[in-house]
Amino acid sequence: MNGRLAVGDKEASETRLTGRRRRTESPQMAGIKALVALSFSGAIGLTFLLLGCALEQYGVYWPLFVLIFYVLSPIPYFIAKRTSDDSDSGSNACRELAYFFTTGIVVSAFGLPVVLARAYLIKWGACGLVMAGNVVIFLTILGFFVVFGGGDDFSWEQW
Amino acid sequence: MAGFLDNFRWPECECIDWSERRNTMASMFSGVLFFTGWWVMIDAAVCYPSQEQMNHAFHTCGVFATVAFFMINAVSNGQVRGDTYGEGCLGRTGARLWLFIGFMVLFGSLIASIWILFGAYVVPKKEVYPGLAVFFQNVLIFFSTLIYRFGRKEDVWTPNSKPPGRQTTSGGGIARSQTPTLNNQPHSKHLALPPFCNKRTLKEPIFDRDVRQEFASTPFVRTNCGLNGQQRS
Repeated sequence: MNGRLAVGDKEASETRLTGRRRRTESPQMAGIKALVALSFSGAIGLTFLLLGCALEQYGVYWPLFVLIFYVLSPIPYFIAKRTSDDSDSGSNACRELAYFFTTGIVVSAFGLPVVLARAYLIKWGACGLVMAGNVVIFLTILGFFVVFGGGDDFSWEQW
Repeated sequence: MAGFLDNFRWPECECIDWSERRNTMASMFSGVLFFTGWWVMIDAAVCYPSQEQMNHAFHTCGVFATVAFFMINAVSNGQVRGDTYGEGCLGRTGARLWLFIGFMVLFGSLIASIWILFGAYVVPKKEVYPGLAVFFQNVLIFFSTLIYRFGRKEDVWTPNSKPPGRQTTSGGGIARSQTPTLNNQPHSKHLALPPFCNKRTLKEPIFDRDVRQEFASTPFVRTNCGLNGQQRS
């Protein structure tokens, strides 16, 4: 028997030896890993938010209003993507207006806990926790857009 | 030892093209300033709720500044120059007038906020925070307007230059767009005219001149495809 293995037999022999098939990472796996990571960070962010409300020393649920800002934040971008008919990479006023409003919504999500704390409705510790939750949630939303694109670039094969 | 930082370079980040991102950065920074101004005012209104501490009429400064923001940013530079197809309702003169009034309202609200700060808070020696809040609201909205208006580059191109693919050309001259649109959309890609002008009237058909002649001079069109009078289906 000659000692030379054909190239294609290497994997077969490895499989015979170890009983395991080496799997290359497919795009679906990468997409799912990103999804799991993003959902984990989203859960952490919401945990911070709820801690800011539900801990014994805080106890008031006013900070939950920032959830409105979380939901509103991707909407201008989607509206701009839908209503813009030109897909050239030049300047698009509608898209820039969407960035303007999105940034405004993010700023508002940070401003609301500060105003609540200054009005003595919540304590400053709760404000800090809510702001930490904000950071994590907005990074999660940004991560969604970076990883999964949005709209036209969104290739369904990532699922 | 003297020049030990000479060879230091920031890590190269090729994924971001700053010239392309300039518009995005400008609009985001402008958004931060604008909404920070509003939240400063909301904070003052929450912490000083009574009429004596902060007269509720002082909100009008910020409201007018916001109206001015949207007025100023509703017209594009192209409309002020008179570039665009069709004229909208008012044309170039109307666009200039609109912009003029918008800037007047913006400057006026800034001056009014300074007046409020000094006239109603510093001089009578009241607690000054609400006055500062009105002032900062208007200053922030002022700078936000300027950045949004002047910090973004528009696409301006002449018939003989390359269409702006990955770079925005700010080459000179009055320009009209090269590519004829298919569905009669007006060529200005900027924000619509003021709300009371919701329909653009095209006074002339889009192909009022031989666009193919202009098209022929670009590097992207082969000159042997019927532009010299040969038949082309």
